[in-house]
Amino acid sequence: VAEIRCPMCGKPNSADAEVCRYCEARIKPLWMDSPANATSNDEDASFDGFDLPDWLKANSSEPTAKSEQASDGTSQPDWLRGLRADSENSADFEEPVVPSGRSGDEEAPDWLRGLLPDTDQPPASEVPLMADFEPVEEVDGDWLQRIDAHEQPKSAAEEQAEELEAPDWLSVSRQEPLESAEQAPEPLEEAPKLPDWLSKLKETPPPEPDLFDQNESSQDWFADSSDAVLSGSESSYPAENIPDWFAGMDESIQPMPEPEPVDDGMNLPDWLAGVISPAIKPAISAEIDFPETTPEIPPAGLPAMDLDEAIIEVGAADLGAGLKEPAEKEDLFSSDYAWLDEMQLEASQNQAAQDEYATEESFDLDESVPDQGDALPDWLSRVPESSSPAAPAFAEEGPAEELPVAELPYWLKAMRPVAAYGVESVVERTSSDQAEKSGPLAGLMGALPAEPDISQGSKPPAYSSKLQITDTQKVHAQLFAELIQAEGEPKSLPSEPLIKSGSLIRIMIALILFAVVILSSLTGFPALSQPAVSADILAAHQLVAGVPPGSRVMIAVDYAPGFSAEVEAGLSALTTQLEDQGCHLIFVSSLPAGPIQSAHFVNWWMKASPPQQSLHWTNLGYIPGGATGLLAFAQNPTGVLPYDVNGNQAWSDPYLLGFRSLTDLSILIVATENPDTARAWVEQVLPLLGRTPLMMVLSAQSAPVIRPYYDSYPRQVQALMGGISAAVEYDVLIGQTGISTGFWSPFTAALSVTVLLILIGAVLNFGLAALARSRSSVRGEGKK
Amino acid sequence: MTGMELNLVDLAGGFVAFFLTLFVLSYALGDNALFRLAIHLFIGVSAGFVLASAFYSVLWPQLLRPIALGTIDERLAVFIPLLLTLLLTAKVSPRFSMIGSPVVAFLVGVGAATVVGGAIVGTLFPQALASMSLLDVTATIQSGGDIGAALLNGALVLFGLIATLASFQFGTRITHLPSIWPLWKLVYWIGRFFIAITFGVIYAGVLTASLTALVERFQFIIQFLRSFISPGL
Repeated sequence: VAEIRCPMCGKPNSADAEVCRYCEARIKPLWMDSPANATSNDEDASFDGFDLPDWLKANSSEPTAKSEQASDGTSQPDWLRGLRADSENSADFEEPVVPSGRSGDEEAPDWLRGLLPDTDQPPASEVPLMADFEPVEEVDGDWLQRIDAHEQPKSAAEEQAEELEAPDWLSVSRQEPLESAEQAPEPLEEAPKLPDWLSKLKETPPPEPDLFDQNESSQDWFADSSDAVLSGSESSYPAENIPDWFAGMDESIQPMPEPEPVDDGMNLPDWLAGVISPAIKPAISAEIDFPETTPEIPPAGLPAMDLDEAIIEVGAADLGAGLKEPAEKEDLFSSDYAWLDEMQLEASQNQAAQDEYATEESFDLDESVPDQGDALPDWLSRVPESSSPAAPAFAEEGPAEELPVAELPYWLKAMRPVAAYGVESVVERTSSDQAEKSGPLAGLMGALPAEPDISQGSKPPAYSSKLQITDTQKVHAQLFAELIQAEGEPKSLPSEPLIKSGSLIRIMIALILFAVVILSSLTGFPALSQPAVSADILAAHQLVAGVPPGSRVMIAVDYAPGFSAEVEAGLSALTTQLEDQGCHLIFVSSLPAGPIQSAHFVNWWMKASPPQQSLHWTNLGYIPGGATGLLAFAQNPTGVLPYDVNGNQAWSDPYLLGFRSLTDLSILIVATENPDTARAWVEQVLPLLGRTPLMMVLSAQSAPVIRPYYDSYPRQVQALMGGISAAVEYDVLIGQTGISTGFWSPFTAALSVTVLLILIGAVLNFGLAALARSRSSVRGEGKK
Repeated sequence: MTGMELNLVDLAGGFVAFFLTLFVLSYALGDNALFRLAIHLFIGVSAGFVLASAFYSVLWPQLLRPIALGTIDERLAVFIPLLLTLLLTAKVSPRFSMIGSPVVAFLVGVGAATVVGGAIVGTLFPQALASMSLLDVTATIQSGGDIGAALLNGALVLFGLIATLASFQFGTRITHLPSIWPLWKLVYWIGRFFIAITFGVIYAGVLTASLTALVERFQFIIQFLRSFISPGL
């Protein structure tokens, strides 16, 4: 009972079963039951849906008729009859269009053109072609085992093929790696039973291990042999070179007329052009690219097919190595395509950059034509799955099944460009949705994939450019925007109060002091007693009192006009005493304003003094140069200040005659409010004074700084008067009422009020600080 | 000048002084235009007066007059000062300021040497000797002073000096002598106490001088107003 295999589960089923009894998958397609094909015979039924081309019909019927007419049925070998019978029932005859390598069409596909560049030359030998096949050990082992285990009756051609031990030499030739193409092929010495003609061919290896040359030679021998057989003319091979198995078959083979080459621009091979029906020519020519270099397959029933059958069987065995069961005769016809597929496979392997691809479950063409993505459409591989019940025999056990379908991992899919993914999806969907409506591809879905550039019918997916953020991020962004906007807005300054607290306090203190001073000056309140004379004032008085009468006294007026009241109060008392002693006063100054300040003092003193007093004085003017000028003046007073402020010869005055240096002075009095000026006089002039005493009349603010010069032992400053109190004491000591006496009461009152205000301020500040600390402590406790 | 003219000058001077005093005292109410007017007036008058004083006190008698009216020796004597003065005037122009730099260098160098020398001779050594002599009993006896008071005064001055100098140390914590650190801190605070007293005394002197100036100004105002109210006073 004929069995067919389920395309889904691969288990055997009866030939007439429409549904697999194991997996309930439909074995026979529904379209096989169409009315158009219902009336066809069994032979046509296997090609339903294809609109079986005429050439295939001729291949199955016409040669048979011719062979029946030419000879009886016994003249054909068993294997050939079996082949024909199997070919009629074989579901594997999925692709009846076998490309011819002799078509000579220049528009052949690239893969095939590269395989056989010169297709016009007939095949010469099969051996070089097969020698380029890459050996597949597993497949070889399978088919060898399968051949050995094959116990079916063999035809004479098969027996002769076994005698040739084609697998051996073929395997030897296959064992040559592809890389050996660059080297000279080694002679096949290990093939002991090679036919003579094959051995002869081996003795002359091709000059270059080029695949195309080998193919070319294979085509030559094949053409020669086939031409000789088909045409019935004399063989170009000598009789001794003809193998025995071939020679034995020569008598039983009826020459068959060579089909007329049909070259109507459809790129069809000659043999195919002769058998194809004109009705399907356009469809085929429009959808099929026929390879050019495929060796011509002679019509079935010809003895020339014996050798091919042997080779085809070998190829079929190789390709069907994955089959668990041995190949049967019914697959022989499909094996013809197997060796062609192997040749294509070899050619594809010789190409430089061969991409790996994932094969589908289809058996023969998908595996044998690796570059199917460009040259071979998918329908070639899908036809047996969808149309032929016998296809599962190859589809389920093919080498493609051993290779798992490549699936991109999820992480790699995530890395795929979105645009490319979208395009690909569109292309896949478009190609898979299209169904062929006519021709041999009618009913097939996605047989001819369109190019992505022209098949993209939909727009690429649009992606939103709007940010996808969370509500929290929105809130943060809004706050950030408000913050930035607030930075740009000008802030109005707080209005300044008309009267600040600091200004108010300052005004109050000023008013208090003004009132106290005015009231004290007007009323003389408080009527304070005169201060007691201190030891310092007493020492100063003694020093001044010791000045000889009529001597020269130098007074340095180095105070600023703002301190004139304080300094001049003490200086006035000294001037009064010195005037009483008849001393000549020499005024100098280290300040630019000193000369005019000296004149102002003398004028003021003369106004304040009784009119009977007269004062002898000389204003030498300004001593330029600061400390250096003082040093120069101390070294050479007459040279530094030769003229007085009036421009007269200063040292020509009768009181100053004989004056050479500062040592000629009776006393040097320095009146200043600046401690630096006082120190400069001490440092620069004192060392050059000799025995001349130095007396300081200072302001109250500079007296503490100069005090060490007075308190030191020995004293550098012999006498010191500081402030208004010292002046009052000196006035008391000399028994006169000077200007300092009128300052004393207001000064004391103002000083007392000032001290009181300082104390009040200190108490208030302390109280406010304590209150603030208590409040802060209360707040701290409240927070706790 | 007659007596009438003098009186008018004094009267005008009195009015000017009166109003300028009020302008300055107006600063008690805050910064105002009257105060600024008085200040600007004082600055301008001071600058003009300094220029006039420098000319009449320095340039004319010591430079121009010897050149114009002096003898040959006096003229030769002022040649170098005149040259240095001309070079110094080159500092006015930025292009030729380098010419006056040697003169400035000379002035600065001489001034620094003078100040440093005077400080050493006039202040450092004498003050050091005076500080050491505070504890000199012999000197105290010779001067007829109280030995106990002199020693106490000397000890107080010495301790104050040491404490004040110690308070200016910006050192780190003495880790290798932890037992001394509390004592060092005590000396540090005593030194700061002495410094505070010194600043207080200086502030009191400044306050006293300011009050004296205030009293003098108010007495001037009162005297000026009295001269209008009762000219006989």
